Amino acid sequence: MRQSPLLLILLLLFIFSPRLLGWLLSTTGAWYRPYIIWLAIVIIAYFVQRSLVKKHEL
Amino acid sequence: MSFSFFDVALICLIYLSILFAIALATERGIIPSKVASHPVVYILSLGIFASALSYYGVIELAENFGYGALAYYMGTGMLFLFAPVALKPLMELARRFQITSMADLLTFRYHSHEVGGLVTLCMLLAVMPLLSLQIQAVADTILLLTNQNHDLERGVDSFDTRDMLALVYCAVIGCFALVFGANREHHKGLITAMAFESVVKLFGMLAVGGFSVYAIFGGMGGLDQWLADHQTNLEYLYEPLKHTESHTLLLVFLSTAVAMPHIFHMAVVENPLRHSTYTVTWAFPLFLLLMALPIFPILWAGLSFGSTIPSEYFSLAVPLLAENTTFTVISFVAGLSAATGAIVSISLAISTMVMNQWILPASSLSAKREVYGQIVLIRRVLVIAVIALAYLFYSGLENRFSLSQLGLISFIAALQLLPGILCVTYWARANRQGLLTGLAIGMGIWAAGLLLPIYIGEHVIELGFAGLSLKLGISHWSDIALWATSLNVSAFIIVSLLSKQSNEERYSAELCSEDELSHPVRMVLDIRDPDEMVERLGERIGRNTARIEVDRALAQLSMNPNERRPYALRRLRDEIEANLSGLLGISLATEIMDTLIPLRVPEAEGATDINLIEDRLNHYREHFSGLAAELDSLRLYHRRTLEQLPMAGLSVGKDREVLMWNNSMQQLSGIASEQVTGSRLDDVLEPWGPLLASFVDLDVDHTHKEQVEIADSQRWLNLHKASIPSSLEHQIDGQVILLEDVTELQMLEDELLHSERLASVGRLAAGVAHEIGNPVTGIDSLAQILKYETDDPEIIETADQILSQTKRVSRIVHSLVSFSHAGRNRGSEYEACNLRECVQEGMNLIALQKEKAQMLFVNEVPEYVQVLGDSQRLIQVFVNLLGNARDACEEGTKVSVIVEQVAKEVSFAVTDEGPGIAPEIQDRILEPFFTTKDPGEGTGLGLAMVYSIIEDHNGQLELISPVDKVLQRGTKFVIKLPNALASAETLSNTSS
Repeated sequence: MRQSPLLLILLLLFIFSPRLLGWLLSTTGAWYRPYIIWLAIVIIAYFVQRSLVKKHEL
Repeated sequence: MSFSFFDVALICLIYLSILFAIALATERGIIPSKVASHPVVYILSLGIFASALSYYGVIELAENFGYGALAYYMGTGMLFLFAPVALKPLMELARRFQITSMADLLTFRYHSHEVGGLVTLCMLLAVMPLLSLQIQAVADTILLLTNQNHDLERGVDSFDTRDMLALVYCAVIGCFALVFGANREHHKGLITAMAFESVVKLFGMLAVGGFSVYAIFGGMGGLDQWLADHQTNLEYLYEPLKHTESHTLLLVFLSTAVAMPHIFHMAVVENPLRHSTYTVTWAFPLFLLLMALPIFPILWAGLSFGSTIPSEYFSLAVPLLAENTTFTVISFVAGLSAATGAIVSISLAISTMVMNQWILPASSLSAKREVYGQIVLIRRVLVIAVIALAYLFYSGLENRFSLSQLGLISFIAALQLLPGILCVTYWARANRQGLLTGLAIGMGIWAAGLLLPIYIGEHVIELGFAGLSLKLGISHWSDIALWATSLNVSAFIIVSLLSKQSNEERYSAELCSEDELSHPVRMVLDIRDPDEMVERLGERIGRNTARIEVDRALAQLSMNPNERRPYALRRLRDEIEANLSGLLGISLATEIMDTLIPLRVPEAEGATDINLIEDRLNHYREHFSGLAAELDSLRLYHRRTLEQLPMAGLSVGKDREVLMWNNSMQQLSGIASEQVTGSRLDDVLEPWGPLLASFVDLDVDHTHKEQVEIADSQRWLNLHKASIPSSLEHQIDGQVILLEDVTELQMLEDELLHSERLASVGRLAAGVAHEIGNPVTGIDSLAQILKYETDDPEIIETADQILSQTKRVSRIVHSLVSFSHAGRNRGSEYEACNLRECVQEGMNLIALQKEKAQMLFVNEVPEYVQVLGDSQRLIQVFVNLLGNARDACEEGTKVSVIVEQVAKEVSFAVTDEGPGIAPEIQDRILEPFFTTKDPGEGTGLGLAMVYSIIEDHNGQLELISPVDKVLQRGTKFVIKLPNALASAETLSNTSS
């Protein structure tokens, strides 16, 4: 199974999580910041699935 | 602003009628199947996840946990984000084995009825708070709308009416579930209705969110200003994230998507489209994002009113307090929709589990009555029972718990099932003892810590040592959840490692864990054909139902009803079990199959099911990457090498089951690989089965020239075999057999023998001719002397007869000598001959025999055609062929010689219009001394001599008879001889 990309994502999350959390938990920012990240994940997921479906159809 | 009970009842009625209409329209086909089966509909139907808790309760969660409340959506969102990895294996399992509920899945994986029973009990207990939550939300919101003061304090008068409305609501929902959820086939109507509900609640949530921002705060700027004025609200969003409870919340909500029975049912069982697995990865998180987006604006809008209404109902309270009727109705309907979807789907899922795990295994279905009808009836009764039980549970709660508290109680119970579910695909070693122990501990802690305190109140029990104490009650939910889960997981792992799996459990575990490096064992099935399965199954489920189920499975597998291959019968058995699981639940289906059509572990060790492994590898090969993909490519390369081997080959297992049958074997035997793979060797069609089976048993590894009759022709085969060594020491896994077709070699040998025989006949003939020639010459001389030395006419007559007979003997002797000389190859002496002249010479010579019938000889050979040969011997060929034609045909008929092709070789034909040569003697006419003429008329050497001469000229002779297929007349000899012109050209090219 494709575990390597998953591990890489987890590693990246681990490395960048302090900075990301710092940005997220900054009270000076807009209240909808978590939603922006959420939306970004959805968009990434959309493109990933599109490439997966294309690969599947080949 | 307030509504009357009548208004609210009318709204409820209209909404539920629309829901009924949509479901009915889908079932009747009024809503096109294209729409009903669209991935968007499926993804929206997953929105049942967002129950009344996510419409109302989540606002309270936001108030208590700030951004931590988003964990409710994020946990589920993450699970679907990784659906191809996290959910797809479960979806595949559900599809393959017709698994209809999570209890079925666990029963199948752990091969235990006890597991199914216990899981069902846990689920039933777990969903009661969740169902009560929905009923409470509907009842409370009705009260909010109808109460002038907009508070939830229970008045003496309102109590009965509100609960009565809740009861009526439950009854209507029950009816809906009965009509659209109880039948066996995919509930398209139900799915469309659930999708519609999701649209309604999403619209409601966004509408109320928009209303909060624009109507209450006057736009985003107003909201920012309000937040700037009330900084504590903004700061509080982050504060709870720093506490453990927020993390526990994420853990609890992560489990809901897969462990809650209704979400499992929609996500895994009802998933109609394979490709939607990919679409769902982004579409469902997007749906959840849209659902979550308005949470905080609604919370702040509610807080800005400073009302006494609990924050959990702010979604309804905001438009209600702002006295906006339209948005109030929209919000109420959306909340109603959220609750309805959850109740319908939960009650259906849990009733299926109860039926499959408790009712059916305990009560035997009547084999005399139609099984399908009995099942629908049981399911309907159970749906009503579940909803009634939920209503009783709700009544017992007396509104002492908030929606989010009830949700947490429910989800923490569901969390206890997560370890067991994860191990279905990810840990084949996990066993039922481990699961039962872990689950009992986890659920025990949950029941003691959260369920019982609902009735007995919160308690703190001092343990009396190290200052430890047991804190029971919803206030301590986080600690209880962590303790229950961690002890559950620990017990599960430890007990699984310390105890052993049964063979059946190991088999199921291997089927479930696609990633496991396992050797599925080829089980032995004590059954001969599908009809025997019908006979045996008929004892329990009735003969008609058994026939329907066996035929259904045969059709699904595209199998022949007369199938006898053990591999195919094992697949058929699995398919029937899967279908029965869909009908009766896996518990009863397994019990029926294990009793009536049991699988046995083979006596021979190492009987690995190669076909199953290959099936599985082919199925999952797109998932392989890196080393696994390379290994798979290597496997395919070796398989293709064996398949394309230009020699017939097959491999058999230790139990004589055919495991491979390559392409050459298919061509040789005429039996397709699909027909024979998985058969027992003895069952393969004759002559192959007996031949191969006896060879497998032989002590020798090679046999030569086995004679086999295939399609009425004889073939000769050399057979070779070798043992396949097993990974186990001193064991073999089976045998590989190669079949070498030596028919052509055998034919050549026979031909050589025949030629040798002919040659010896020729030599004999030459000797005989020589020996006879001398005395005949003497007789001839004496007869001539006798004739000239007497005048007695009688003696002269006798002498003439002697001379005539000696001439005849001389002619025969001359023919014999010519035939024996024909064997000498004189190719080096050949020169270019004009074919037309040779033919003409032959015709002239034949025409000289006036006493014979006169024919119409036609020489159509062009002047320019020249062949390489000896002209005198070629004339002999034409004399023999034309003479035979004349003897066979009636007088005056046409005998022609025409050239058919001039290339490297000259092809010409001698054709007559005679009666033709009978097929049965066509093979023999070239043999020496074979003749159809009367005794004394022919020597039987004419055609043999023709054949010899043509062979000496490196030519070919072909016989076609009859020429006229309609009249069945005519004979044609086609002769090919080297073209003198082409040969000269080749020579000149070579020399230059």
